[in-house]
Amino acid sequence: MKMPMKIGDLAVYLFAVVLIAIGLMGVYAMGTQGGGKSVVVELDGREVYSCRIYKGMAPVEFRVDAGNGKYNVVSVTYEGVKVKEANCPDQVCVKSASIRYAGQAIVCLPHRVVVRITAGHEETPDVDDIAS
Amino acid sequence: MRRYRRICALTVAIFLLGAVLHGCTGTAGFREYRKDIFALNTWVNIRIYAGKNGPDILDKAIKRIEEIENRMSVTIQDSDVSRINSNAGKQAVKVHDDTFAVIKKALEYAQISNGAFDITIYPIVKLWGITSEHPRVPADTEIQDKLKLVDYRNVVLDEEKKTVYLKEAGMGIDLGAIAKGYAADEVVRILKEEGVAHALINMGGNVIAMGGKPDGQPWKIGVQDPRSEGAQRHIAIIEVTDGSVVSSGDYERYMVDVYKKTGKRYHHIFDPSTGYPANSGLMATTVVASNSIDADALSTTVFIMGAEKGLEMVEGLEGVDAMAITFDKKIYASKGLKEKLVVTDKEYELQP
Repeated sequence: MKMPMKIGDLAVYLFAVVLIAIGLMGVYAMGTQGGGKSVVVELDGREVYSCRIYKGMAPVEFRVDAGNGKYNVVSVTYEGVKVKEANCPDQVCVKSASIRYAGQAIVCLPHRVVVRITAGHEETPDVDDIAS
Repeated sequence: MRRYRRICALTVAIFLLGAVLHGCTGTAGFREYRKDIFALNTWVNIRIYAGKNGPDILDKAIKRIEEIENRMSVTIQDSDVSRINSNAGKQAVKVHDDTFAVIKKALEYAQISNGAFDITIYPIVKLWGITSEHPRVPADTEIQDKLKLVDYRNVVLDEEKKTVYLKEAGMGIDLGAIAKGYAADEVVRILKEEGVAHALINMGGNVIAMGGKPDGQPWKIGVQDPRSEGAQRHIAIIEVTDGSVVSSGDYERYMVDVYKKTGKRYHHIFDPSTGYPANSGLMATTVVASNSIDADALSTTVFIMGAEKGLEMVEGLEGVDAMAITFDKKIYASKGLKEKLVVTDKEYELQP
């Protein structure tokens, strides 16, 4: 049985399609913003913090509590990630140059803290790992 | 109704497209599992591609690393190595098979390198305490005194009884320049047994590639910039399928305070012929080999021997490649590596 097409129905369908498409594009764009780079902080192998890095982001600063009063303060900007302050004995992490590209990391051995930049879906890093 | 169906189909299509774009590919439920631990006095990272039992496989590998650490660490009181050291000049000590194998390998490298690689360096390591909380530059008389105890020919192995004996009282061994390589090879062995085909392991900078990447490409391993002041940054890339890349250098562990004041870098790799940090004109070396134990031991050896002698030795070994970076940022590489090495930092110059 053929139903006569109503202009109203068509409008509703079209509207639905457009809405779904816009929604999906939005979700997709959020996932890939700024190349999809993130900074991940791990304490003793467990991820304790992560934050996306994208152009125009507000600078972020946070404190990693490594237990027994041990801490590292990490500062994150689009231009680079660094350990701003820490009370570890060797201060190697604080003296490290800031990191910016996927695959780079700063390690604080005494506090067992790793600050790492990871690539998102869109971005393949230059190298898979570094022999250091 | 037909139009309704069409919209449904379109919606499904958009979803599928989205899924594909998001990289939900992966072969038959295999995905990446990764784990970071602190062991062997360093940071260890293991990445494997496996099915649902990925976490169990990782746990198995980590257990083995911890077992090796408990046997070979010089800072663990009842380890094989500590017992060998505390019985120096007294008696032979029965050790685990793996400890015996590593010491045997270390003595082989001592012979090949004419003593440049020497695990009996421990009294010198302890004297300087570069990696301890209170490092210091000792007096030359102290160094000469301890240097008398450094001689790999005074390590006596008994293959039958699996014992190790240090002839002189006061002697000591340190497997720090080779145990990580052994542990990495053991991890690879376990992963293979568990059917893992693709993995990338990083043991405090020693990188071991198992297979290639899941997409069939070789792993791309960066060579650390020796003057990045602590950050991980590469100056060159080596592509590896099934093999290990290990770097050694004066940048890894050194007396930062003395360096800031005097510009002199007292680092952790000692020359067994002088008792001082090796000073062969190099900032760093990188060795590529199929087994990580070889790459680990040889990166230290080449660093102590220098570019010319070190690379000459490597050319004589099968399946091993090496490169050395001098203070003026020149890269010297073995024949096999020259073709493979891609230098990515313009400041560094690969020599023909």
